[in-house]
Amino acid sequence: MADESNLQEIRLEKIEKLLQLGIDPFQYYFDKTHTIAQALASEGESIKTAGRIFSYREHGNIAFIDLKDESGKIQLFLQKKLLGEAFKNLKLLDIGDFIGVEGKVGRTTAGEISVLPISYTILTKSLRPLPNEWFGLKDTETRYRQRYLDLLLNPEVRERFNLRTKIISGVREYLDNLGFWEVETPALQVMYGGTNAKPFTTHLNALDQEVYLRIAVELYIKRLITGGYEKVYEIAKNFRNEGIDQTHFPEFTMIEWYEAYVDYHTMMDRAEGLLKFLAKKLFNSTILQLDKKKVDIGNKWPRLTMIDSLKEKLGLDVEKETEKSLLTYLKKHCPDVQILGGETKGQLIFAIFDHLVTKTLIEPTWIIDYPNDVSPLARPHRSKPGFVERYEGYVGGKEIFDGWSEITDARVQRKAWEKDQNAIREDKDEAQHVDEDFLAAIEYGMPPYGGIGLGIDRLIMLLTNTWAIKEVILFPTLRRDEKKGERDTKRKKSSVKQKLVTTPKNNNT
Amino acid sequence: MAGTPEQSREARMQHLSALEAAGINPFPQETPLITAPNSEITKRFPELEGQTVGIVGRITGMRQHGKLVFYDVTDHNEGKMQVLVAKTGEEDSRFDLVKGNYDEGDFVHAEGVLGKTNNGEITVRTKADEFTMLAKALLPPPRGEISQEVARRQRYMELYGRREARERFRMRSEMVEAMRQTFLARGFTEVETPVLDNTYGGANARPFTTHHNALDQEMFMKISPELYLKRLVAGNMGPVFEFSRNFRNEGIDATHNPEFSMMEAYEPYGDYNEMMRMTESMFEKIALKLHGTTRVQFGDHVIDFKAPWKRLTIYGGLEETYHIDPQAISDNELRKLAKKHGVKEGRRGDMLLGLFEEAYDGKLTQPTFVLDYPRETSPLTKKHRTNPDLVERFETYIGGMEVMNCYTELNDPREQRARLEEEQRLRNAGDAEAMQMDDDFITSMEYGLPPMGGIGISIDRMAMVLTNTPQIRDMILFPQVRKTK
Repeated sequence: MADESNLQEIRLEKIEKLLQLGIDPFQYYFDKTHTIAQALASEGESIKTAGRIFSYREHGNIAFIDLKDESGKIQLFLQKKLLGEAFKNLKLLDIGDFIGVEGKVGRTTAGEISVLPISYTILTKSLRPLPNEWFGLKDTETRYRQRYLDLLLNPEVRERFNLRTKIISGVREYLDNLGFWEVETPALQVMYGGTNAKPFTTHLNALDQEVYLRIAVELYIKRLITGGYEKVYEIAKNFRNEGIDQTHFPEFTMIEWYEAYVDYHTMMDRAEGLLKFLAKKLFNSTILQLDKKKVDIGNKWPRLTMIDSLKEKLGLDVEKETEKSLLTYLKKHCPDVQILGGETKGQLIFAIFDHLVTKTLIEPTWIIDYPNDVSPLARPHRSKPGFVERYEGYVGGKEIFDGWSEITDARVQRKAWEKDQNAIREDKDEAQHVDEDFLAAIEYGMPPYGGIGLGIDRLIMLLTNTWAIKEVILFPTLRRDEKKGERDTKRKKSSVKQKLVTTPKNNNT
Repeated sequence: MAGTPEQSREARMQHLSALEAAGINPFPQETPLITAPNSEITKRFPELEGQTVGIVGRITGMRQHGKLVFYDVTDHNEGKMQVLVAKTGEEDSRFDLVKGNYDEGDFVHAEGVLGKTNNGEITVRTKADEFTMLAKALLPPPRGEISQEVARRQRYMELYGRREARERFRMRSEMVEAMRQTFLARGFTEVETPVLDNTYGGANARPFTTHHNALDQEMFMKISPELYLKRLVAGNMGPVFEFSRNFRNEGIDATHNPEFSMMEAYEPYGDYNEMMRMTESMFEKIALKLHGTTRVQFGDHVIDFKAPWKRLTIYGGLEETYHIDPQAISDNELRKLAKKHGVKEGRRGDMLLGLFEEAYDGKLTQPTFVLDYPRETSPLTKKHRTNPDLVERFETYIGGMEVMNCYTELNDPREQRARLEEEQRLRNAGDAEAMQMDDDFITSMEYGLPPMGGIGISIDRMAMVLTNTPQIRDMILFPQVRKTK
């Protein structure tokens, strides 16, 4: 029986044969004049294209190959009368090999557009047979660990990552057209801040000091506002040393943007505009498929205060409640929520909102005006004491945008941080620090401005209707691979199947 | 008591209190209507003359003449607008409040009629009521020389105080965007690869380590995205590129920062020749875009980015400098020559490269492709198509710095395994920067990697040569700095 190592042996023997024939099976270059998609549209022309062999069938003096590149798939119709001596070397090819071909684009008698090669070049010989069936790759862990196989064999995975690229490119286009500048701020920081999260630490040898991996870009980009930037963004990798679940990951991509002279109302207009722009660009429609529902994001999104949302969705008028009664309410409706004791009214309001209201926000909705003790970087509300000008955008029951009118009064920022350090929380490392240099940056003067954070991975999940973060990150963070041997053994079974389908016996075109 | 530019923090705090006492919010949430950036208003003066306009910016100058105060208001596009605030009468107490408590550096909004003063300067005429405080600056603007220390620790101070600093970082952003557009137009796909990983590779370097709590395991930070990008090509993603933040736990000097930005790109069916043509043409265009000429000042030199750039092989350089035949020279003679020039004894290739670097280090000012490296020095590069002792690699030097590194990529998994095994031997012998074996990477290659050219371009260093910035720490907005005590 041929298992994977036997098949590898056979391929290695073919390499030896090629070398004996004076053919180098690892070429340097190919002058690819046409992608496969372009070749498909070039009937009647002579072209050169290249790609990977996905199937091979031979009948006497003719053979058929399906060749794929990142743009598409085309059939090669190989004939002894055109290829002469080279025809017999076709048996040295295997599925998975890269070849380049030169020839006319024509049609077979069955009417299929094909390249009729007058020559072919083996560009790279593959040593390992591709798992031809989903059989060997159903295991999600293998799919994540060997994403290249997942991409090769699973068109919808490939399509999802194409969309990821297009979405990020669309975000840039939208902001660049509005006159924003893209910048880079550090991932290694001597002090972390910008949100409440537990950081990774590492040691910087050159300066012999501990440094943190950034949890957010916020405090650095804001310093640029003092430095004279008025519209600025960064698409950044952030790191949080926390648990992994369906939507949380230790390493993730986030965009933050800041704009001078605007408040949270304008920021909401911009953010809403971005999502509509992306939907139109990608799908030519403002209707998104979210889970099994269709949601139109094309209308003006309602702006609902957090207090009103609790009234509307739960019939709960929190302004009339006390800390004690809210705690009772929370315990009753969300028995799983951990209570630490000493939670403030604002923290309780937010907890009730977060656990009971957010999942009902399917149609796009802005929630505005948050209790001040859950938002230490947001600006106090201009007319509602105890609240801040913070907003979150929800679509399909998920939080997509989070931002606020920014604090420009250093005295206010200092007080908010001091308060946050004393706030009740499970992990003290997640408290925000008083960052004196940042306070100095405010004191040099910052114009009124608004800011926003948008999780790129979440945005991709939303727009691809795939609510699992590992499915939208090419190489997700994984535990060190202890089971590698086991998976390799499993795969051997699938290669047996592979062997059966690659035997050139199925004579049908 | 009139506001003067140099008001101390204490005086400014008093001004703040005075404004608050008068019921003025010195940090309002809302900005009144802005007609256009100041430079645009200047440009559109004939059309806007006599109309009411709204403008914003920081106060950058003030001149008082009794019942008139002239303010210069400058926005982020370097557009300066004169604002004339006039007292409307004896009862105009707001005028005295503004005059006494607005300081240089404050963000303001002015709404008034656009016109010209007697001496022809474009001016927004307004009264104190329409000259709104947007944000009070509690500290005075930076004056005079900004020390290197301050510039790096508090970049906002340098950006605030020096127009050249703002220009420098805008050019960096423009360069990055131009590179991105070039690769996109060529059909490349932009992707992201991980920073945190269970292994590291793609370069010879010392990694940062950290601890992942949820998985309770040590992890490394990326030193290069190379091995992941190649896996994507194996996955038929076609030509791919990434603007990647890399981390190397090494020294800090004029051209090295522990955290740095690279662009890496991989193009199937291409090779290093194609990459040379592509990069020289791309940067010729970028130089033209940024400076209107291909000739750019860098320190004492004028660098000409015009393509084609000079090509210098390692062997050619050795022949010219040492008058030897690098291919034929005996091991013994080579060791002697190395010793004479202070090059560490080692494998042939290491000594040849050492001698080359000894001769050319810091001397390649004009853009130069240094190519065809000894095989031993480059474990991920394909052997040269005509000389098996060499590999198809080039490094680009500009202004004496290495700014790019490119290979025709090694894609024969048997040879890749042998090369990494050799690295592993060096590692076992104590070379901490030698590469480690990566079985999964070799597996991906066994599934087949097309021939391809791959390149890494240092964003920080290319920005340095394009903006006449000799120190990498001045090309990174917030470079790594020692913790203040």
